Amino acid sequence: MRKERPKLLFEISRPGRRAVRLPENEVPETEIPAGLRRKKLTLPELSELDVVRYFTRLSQLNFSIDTNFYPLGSCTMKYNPKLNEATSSLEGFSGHHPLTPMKFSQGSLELIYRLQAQLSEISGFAQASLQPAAGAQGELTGVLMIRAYHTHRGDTKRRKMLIPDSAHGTNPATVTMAGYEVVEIPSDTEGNVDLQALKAACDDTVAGLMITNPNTLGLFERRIEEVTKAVHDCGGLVYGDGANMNAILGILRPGDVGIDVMHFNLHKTFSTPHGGGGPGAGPVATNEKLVEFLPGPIVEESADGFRFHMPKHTIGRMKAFHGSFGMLVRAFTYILSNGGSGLRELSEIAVLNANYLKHKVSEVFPAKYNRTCMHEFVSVGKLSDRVHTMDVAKRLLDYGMHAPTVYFPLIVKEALMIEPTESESVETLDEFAAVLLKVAKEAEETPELLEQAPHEMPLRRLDEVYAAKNLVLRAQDLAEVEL
Amino acid sequence: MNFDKDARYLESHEWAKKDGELVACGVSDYAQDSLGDIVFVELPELGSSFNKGDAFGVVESVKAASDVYMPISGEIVEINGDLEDSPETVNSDPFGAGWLIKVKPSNPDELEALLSADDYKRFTDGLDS
Amino acid sequence: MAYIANSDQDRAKMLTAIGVGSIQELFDDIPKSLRFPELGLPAPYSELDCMAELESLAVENLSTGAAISFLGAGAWNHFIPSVVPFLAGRGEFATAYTPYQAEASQGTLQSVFEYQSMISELIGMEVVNASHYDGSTSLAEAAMMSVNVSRGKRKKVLVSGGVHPEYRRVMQTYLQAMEVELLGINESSSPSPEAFLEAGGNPASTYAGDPRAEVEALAKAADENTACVVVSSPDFFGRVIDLDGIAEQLKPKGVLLVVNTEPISLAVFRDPGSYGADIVTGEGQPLGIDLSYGGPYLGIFGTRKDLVRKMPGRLAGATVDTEGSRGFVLTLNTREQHIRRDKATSNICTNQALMALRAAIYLTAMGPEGLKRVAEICYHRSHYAAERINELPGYSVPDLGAPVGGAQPQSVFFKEFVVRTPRPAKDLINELAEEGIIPGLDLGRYFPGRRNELLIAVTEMNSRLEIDALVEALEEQS
Repeated sequence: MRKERPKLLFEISRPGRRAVRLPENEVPETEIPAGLRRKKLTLPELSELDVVRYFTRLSQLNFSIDTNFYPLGSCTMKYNPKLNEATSSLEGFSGHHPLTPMKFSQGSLELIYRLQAQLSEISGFAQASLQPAAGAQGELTGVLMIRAYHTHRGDTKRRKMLIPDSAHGTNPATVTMAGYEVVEIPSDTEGNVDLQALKAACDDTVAGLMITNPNTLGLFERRIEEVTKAVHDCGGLVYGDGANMNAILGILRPGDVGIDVMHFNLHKTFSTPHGGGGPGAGPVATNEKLVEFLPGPIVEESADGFRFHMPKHTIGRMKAFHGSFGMLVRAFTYILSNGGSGLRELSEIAVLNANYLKHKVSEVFPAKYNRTCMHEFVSVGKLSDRVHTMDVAKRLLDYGMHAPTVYFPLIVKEALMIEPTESESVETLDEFAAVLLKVAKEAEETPELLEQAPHEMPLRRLDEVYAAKNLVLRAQDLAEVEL
Repeated sequence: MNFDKDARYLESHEWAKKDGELVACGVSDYAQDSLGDIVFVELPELGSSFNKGDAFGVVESVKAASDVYMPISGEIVEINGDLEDSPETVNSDPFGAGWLIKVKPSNPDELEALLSADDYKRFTDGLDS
Repeated sequence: MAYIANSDQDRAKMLTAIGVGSIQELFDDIPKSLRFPELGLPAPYSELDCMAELESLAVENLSTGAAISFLGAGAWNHFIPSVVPFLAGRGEFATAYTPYQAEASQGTLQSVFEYQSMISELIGMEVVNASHYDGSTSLAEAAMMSVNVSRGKRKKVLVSGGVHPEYRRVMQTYLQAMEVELLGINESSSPSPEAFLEAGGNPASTYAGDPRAEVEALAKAADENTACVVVSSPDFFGRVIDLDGIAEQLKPKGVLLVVNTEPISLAVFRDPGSYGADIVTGEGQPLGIDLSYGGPYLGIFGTRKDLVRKMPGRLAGATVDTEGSRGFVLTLNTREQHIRRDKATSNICTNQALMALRAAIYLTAMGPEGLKRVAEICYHRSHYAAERINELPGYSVPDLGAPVGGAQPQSVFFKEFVVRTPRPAKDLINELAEEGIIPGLDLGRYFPGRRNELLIAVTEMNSRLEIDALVEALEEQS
């Protein structure tokens, strides 16, 4: 049965309805100067039950990890433990003001200090800063640190950042923000960085390389040490995009293979919920070369307890206050819960699950590169001239399965990128494989079923062209465009 | 796929055609087809000047935004204002009503150096194989 | 393992299916000598032990629940209706990803659309994006956007001394590689990050005069090389600035007006759109978001519709499905990094969607009257507190027109105000905190020359009793 979709708030708002009872003013009133006073404020007016029903019904229109299998490649949609929610909601954390004097903030400071140490240990680095608010901000942090390092040494001719053609879009966008030029490095026939091309690109104008390992094809860069050496030999530094860290916890420490600085996506690897797009957290960790360039403040231990500290040549702050602290509490809880041995087990099973699923669907959706994959693999979703990857994705929704990532990485045309994570049972993987094969059969027998999918969702396929042409970006715009 | 015989082309899929003293420019049928439904066209200011190969605007679909490059150096003397309300014209009539700009060329000889329709067709055939 | 379903038997079966002898073999691509390092981390904690460990840390903090707190300065202790955490905590919202598959994400998309609609009304801007990390990064991205609107030609950003010092520091981080100068009034060149840090914050912010006069001076100083003028209202010190006519002065010069604001104040004070702001940013934390030691918060970002293609961040838009029913999608994606890559308007990808949802629920629950009531309580109680403290011997509140260090004009403030103290504010805070009162922020933390000043925030969470307790405690310290 198709679920009823709620109207918009302004359509159900009725004048005079209230959802919250507020206190009295209690003190004498002070006049607000007329010239500064606002004249009119229009917001929805609802009862409390209206509010609860509206947002509850909205929530039921979402697929989520808590309700559906969500094999969205590159996004690591693993289970988000509820214990993390409980610990981050402890009033001592959730009600802790960021400008509370350090003496009265020792609990939060200790947590930051310990998480800095844990992340450094997991990645093989000297120091971490928990400032960055998300992966992309972690990338900007790392590239700005590399820039500051070269500038500090008086080496100002380095203008280029090398990026494999399989990289996430955030990498090149970050490089532009950091004032560098992007030089794209092709991939070889095995899906790894083309080492010849990389070596040819390395010279004294190269600031560094941004590399994701395992890469976005779900493959480990076999010659990672040669890759990092080539960059180091020309005086560049290597940035590690930690988006795929979930494959290598306790398996390999990026700091051990020549990566100089990396970010973690706490909302991927360390199980903090994605929240429909955020918040995330993107701490960075680095080796001795770049420690003094880290963003701050970071927490250090002193005779008087834990305290903030700004690294000597810091690139500065990435955001106000101390990072996405609520997410840090969740990640810290997750690391404690798993311990060192548990983290390794998570990665082992993430990789086992991916290889198992890759095997189960290989007949119809063979992986583009026929190698042992890491935590995810990339196939081609296009099944015929009529049935494209997007059609397969939309049809999967009808079976209650979220679609894999589609059309990424860009180097695989019609890519279908599948990441099951360690959380899922073998039965769920079998079921997904069966559905995927069934959809492929439908594509042969009744292609229109896929072309017109989804059929069972609250809405049929949505028109993105209409949205981009008409630009109805708020309820107020509906007065001009009737929808 | 259409290839206007009267036009000259760049490998980045722009075309240029003589229009009296001026040169009209747009994007090819191949370009509009690979972009899909075009939802927005950004055009330069009248009176601005560009060199051959400079990016002068952007053609946007929902899945891609593509810079468009000058096939020829010169000053922008006309822009196709109709595209603001109906960018889809670039899809339906790329060589006609879907033109983007008219240029007063600073070096009209540049036009001859561009690809002919046949050469451009051969070039695009190679892209699809 | 609690977070892994597959048992040893399952694993054995799966290995057999894929024809691999052991899980370890799956990692043959990884350099052998470096494979499987021993991590120096403790053994797994049970759920009970984990909770106990975290509780033991949490109680070490003097939180707002354990103290009477008057701390603000960019994060404020506001009332959060019970429906906000209850609804936003639903797994269907919290454990969904970015709504890439629109048909399976209508809950997220419609709530983002509602957020955009309500914030648009509040700040008076035609377009509001789906959020940034916090107020500081919103402001930094607004400065970057202003430079991009000039196609990179304008290389100066003029910043008011009333902008939060940490925000200014974040702007400096973001702009350091773009060769853009951040300048305040009386600054001839952008201070180096090191100098900036040594100064403890914003060198221009010792400014304590008439904030309107400072903005006028900035508008006058703006030239053809200036991308934007950045003003905060309410500013870091709590003052609401009359910005009428400033945009008109900037427009002929092609300079954008960027206003950083505080959302609850806009229930009673004029929205920045009404005086012609081009980009409006703000910290959305007051809208139902926990203090949580500084994050996750909510970066509000809005602009004019004709600038939408230069705007960073995600956008939800309304559309139709193939049967003509209304639905929502992410739109104008071509501005973003996953499509435009090195030419994107920003590298932002993950944003603060769940925090935007909290703000949407908060605003819906409050409604226009509720939000106005909260704002009025903040306004009246902060003025009550200021008046009382101003009467104490040794203390003064310059914004009330107190004649300390020369004539000071009276300023309008919303919920925060500066108090000059008879002793270093730091000492006052430390002593009062032992009694469970955090009287405010030591301004010396950011401005070395202002060690005898407190920034006090009063919200609806501070009852008259609490305010009176603060006044009494300050009196004892004079």
